[in-house]
Amino acid sequence: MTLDSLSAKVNYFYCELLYVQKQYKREKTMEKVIKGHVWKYGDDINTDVIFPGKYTYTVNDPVEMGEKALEDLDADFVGKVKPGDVIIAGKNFGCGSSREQAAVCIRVKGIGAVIASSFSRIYFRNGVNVGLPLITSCEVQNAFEHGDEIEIDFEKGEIRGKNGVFTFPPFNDFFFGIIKAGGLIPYTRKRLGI
Amino acid sequence: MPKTFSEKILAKYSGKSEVVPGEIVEVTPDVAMSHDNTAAISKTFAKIGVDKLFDPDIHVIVLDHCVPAANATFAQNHKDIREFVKKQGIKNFYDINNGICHQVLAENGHCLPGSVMTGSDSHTTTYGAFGAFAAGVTRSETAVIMATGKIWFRVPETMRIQLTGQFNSGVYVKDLALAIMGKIRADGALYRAVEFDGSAAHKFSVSERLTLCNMAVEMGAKAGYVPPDETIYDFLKGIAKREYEPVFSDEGCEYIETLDMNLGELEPMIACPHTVDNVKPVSEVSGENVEQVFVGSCSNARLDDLAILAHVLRNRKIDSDTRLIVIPASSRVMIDAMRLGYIDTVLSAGGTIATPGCGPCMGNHMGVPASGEKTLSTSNRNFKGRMGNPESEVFLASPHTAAVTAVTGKISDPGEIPVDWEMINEELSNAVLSPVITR
Repeated sequence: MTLDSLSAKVNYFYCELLYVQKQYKREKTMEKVIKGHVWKYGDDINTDVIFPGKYTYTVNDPVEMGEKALEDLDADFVGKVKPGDVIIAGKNFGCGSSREQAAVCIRVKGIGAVIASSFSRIYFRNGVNVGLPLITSCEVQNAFEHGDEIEIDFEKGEIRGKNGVFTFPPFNDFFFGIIKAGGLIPYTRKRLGI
Repeated sequence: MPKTFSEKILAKYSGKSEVVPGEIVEVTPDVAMSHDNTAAISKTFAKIGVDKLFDPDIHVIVLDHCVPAANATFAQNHKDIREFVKKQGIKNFYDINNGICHQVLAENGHCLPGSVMTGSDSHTTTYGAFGAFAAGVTRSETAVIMATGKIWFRVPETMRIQLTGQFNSGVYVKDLALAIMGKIRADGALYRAVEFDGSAAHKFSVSERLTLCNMAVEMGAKAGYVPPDETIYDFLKGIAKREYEPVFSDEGCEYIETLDMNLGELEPMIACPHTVDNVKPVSEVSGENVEQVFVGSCSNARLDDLAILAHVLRNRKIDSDTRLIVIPASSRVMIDAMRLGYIDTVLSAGGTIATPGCGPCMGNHMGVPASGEKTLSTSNRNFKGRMGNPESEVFLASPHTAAVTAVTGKISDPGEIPVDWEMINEELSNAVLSPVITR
């Protein structure tokens, strides 16, 4: 075995270890309540403005993906978003391409949940699979402005803000199992007993 | 109880006697397609910690999103995929010399009636043209199919779009798809399977069905479906990769919504920037200058599309201030187009031809527009930044509208330069590799 291939192997196992550790931590610390500010957008927010197609094969690192989040929609987002912030949008959020980066990029920037009156189906799958909570609600759009404070209690199924408390039905057990596991990959590992 | 196509097929594949809309089922697909994103998928697969694929024969991999590679990053992706394919013994691998994944799967007999197909690509709905249940999934999900062979689906409600009548001259399936989108909007079929039926649907060629089911995802659909018939069975003779058994909706099954469309009432349509459902009749925006026309993509770059283009361009030149980029959907389509003289016509008229593949559709290379420029495209998406520049605008229309627009340099009604359908059909009947396209 050459030194190069040995070092590649060591590096690979190190990355694996970090990955497993990260998933473990995320599962342990999955927050029941998140608190932050609202980023408010309209209907039909598509994946090309969430994560531009031109980066889909050149940006492979999740942290770098985060730096491209909403690039063609809101230039302020990347610099100002804080962990626990929430996106509130109208209908058909995430329509367009199947690109997973469109869910990953806002997740790594700390977005704790997306609330929309409906989600595009592949985006919904991506959200579940990367452990990003997606809440379908038609009530909150008028109750929050851009920048308002917001609190979401996932256990109680409550969205709280200056205009009151709004409830949402609990997640389907199947989806919540995946989200709680930290996403589809850790969920699959668990299922396979790895 | 009578059931829809989707309910029947998902019950069959999940081993249940029956399923209802909203239910979550787990199935093993017959085909799991992935393309250039297989590089990322293979890395996710490695993270799962399984060494060997559950079944290498499920996977069909096509390099098409940036072919040939535009830079070292794309080249490395392709290299990683080739190594993965070899290591895992994946037989169904199509390298950069084939064309757009959806066209390649169709041409090579991977899409079969009554099968369940997934793809890490939103336009996987295209395969519904063959009567398959075909839905786009995510990258991670294909990695999980690689490891376990399993994927979850929510059983969809089904919407039926009943097609009757006959197109007027200059109106095509693309116009029909745009008209439906304008009517029901980009979320009109969200989470639903869309069944295109009626006397007109069964007159459509394979190519036209592919365009229709391709556009179904732009309506939000999980799957598009045209009930298979002789047109499909004939096409599949000698090329079907597996045996197949068609599945049809039962008489009297429950549709969540039914929509009637009379083809004879339609006119040429165009989707204006920056959403696919910002649809208007071409006549409302005609006269607007465009700097670029793109005839390509998994929506409209097959032989019939190139035939229309060539017939418009024959003995003409494109506008001197407009560029025309033509990318055939596959190498097979390109060979036929060469034999029939279409490529010659495009080049002689001042157009350019690029390697079969996705091209500039999602802004990777080969025709990214400059800021302030307008492109008229035969593709399926015009979102801001889609073609690689958020400061440009994209209009979507049929190949006929695109061809006439290339000649005039302004968005133009296809009626300005009509084509002779009888002559086109005669030419298409002589195509060697591609199937005959009827009308």
